[in-house]
Amino acid sequence: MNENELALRLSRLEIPGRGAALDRCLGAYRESATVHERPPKRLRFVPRRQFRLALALTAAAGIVALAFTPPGRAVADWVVDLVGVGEPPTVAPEPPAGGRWNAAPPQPTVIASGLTARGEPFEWVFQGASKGVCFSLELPAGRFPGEGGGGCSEQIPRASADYPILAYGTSSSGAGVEVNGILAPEVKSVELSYPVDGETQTIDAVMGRISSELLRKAGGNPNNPRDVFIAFLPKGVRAEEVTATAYDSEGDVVGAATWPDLDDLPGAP
Amino acid sequence: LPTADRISHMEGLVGVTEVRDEPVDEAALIRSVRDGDRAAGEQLIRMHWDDAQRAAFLITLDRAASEDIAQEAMLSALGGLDRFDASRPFAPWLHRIVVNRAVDWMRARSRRREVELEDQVLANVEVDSYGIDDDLLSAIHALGPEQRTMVAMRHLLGYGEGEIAELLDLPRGTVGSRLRRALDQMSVSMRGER
Repeated sequence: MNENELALRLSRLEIPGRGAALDRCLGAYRESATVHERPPKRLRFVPRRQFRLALALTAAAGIVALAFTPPGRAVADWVVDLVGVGEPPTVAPEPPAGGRWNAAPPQPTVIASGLTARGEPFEWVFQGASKGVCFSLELPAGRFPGEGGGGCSEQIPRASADYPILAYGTSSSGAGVEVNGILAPEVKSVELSYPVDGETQTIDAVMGRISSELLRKAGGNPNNPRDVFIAFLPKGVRAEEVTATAYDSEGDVVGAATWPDLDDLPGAP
Repeated sequence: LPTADRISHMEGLVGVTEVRDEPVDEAALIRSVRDGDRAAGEQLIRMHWDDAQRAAFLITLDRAASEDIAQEAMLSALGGLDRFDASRPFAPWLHRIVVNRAVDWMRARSRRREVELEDQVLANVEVDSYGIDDDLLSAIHALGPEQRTMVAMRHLLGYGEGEIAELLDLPRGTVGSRLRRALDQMSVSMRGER
């Protein structure tokens, strides 16, 4: 087979369901354009030694940990009873759908709850699907159902000693910049830092858990429950400038994640 | 009454017709997207969807992942047009994002060997027809991800070795050697099938 023949044969490659996939992409684009959402971005993992250097530089610049006060509304304005981890969400989320996902056990369950950057209550919800699991961000006081968004995955990433924090970030109209992820067992807390007017500010993430029971119901291995975290940053923060830092029970840094650089291109996988 | 899905499908057909019958000024489309014209963005998606998903599929060999990767890359590319030089072609920029994400997906998958939700990867390959010969698909399957990346960029997307080297920030010699090894391995695989 020569190169021309290979090119010709590859040009005949047809992905089944192409039309539906294109429609879903167009729908996602329309939705993102309607609510001015930015597309999800994945955080890149930073090797420990690089992060130590980054931490040293940041410490030298003088970090002052500041409690975040949401603009225009104090957190105390919300009088809410936060739904606990492991409980059903306040409002039933949209069932997994979109063509290749169907609802499956377990039922929607809160894996973390707290307040968004605007001080509104949120519930991070886990539910089963036919080909994997789905996560959604529910905002019981939000303007419309599904405002927080969500997504499904065939697998749940697993953090390790080498990569103790796997972080993902999205921006949404309802909750602002959201960063969440999976943690290695030794991680006990996560702090996010970001610049505001030239100064570094920090905020603690809300910690949560995908329990053994949820994994078992989802058809997974119950011996490896996942610790998770989620945090919301105020509007105006550029997601590319956020660093998520993981600490162990002694308060020592065990890893960090920062935004990816599009120029970081593949070498040997 | 047509359902929402059927309306969407009809819009898709109109878009395809427009792309085929009229020359497209891509730079003008990009300027329109920057000005908030969603229809222009949709036309860009329709123009580039097939190559984006095919490339992602050739690298990951996972149909579901290829859709996710192509969609994320499209939204990322369109969302980042403010940083894009509209005098340059859109495709290489998009393809670079697609390839990066596909390779990242493969890397993440290799790190997730112990993930308990059973791996569905490659299951689709065995049950679906992809419009190409089974022996070619098997030969591609036998390649490593980096070799599949090279094959996708050179022989599906049509980039030269120098362009691939520039897009992937690799030495040109590395690109050439990976391509040659990939073709040699595919030839051996396909001879073995017969």
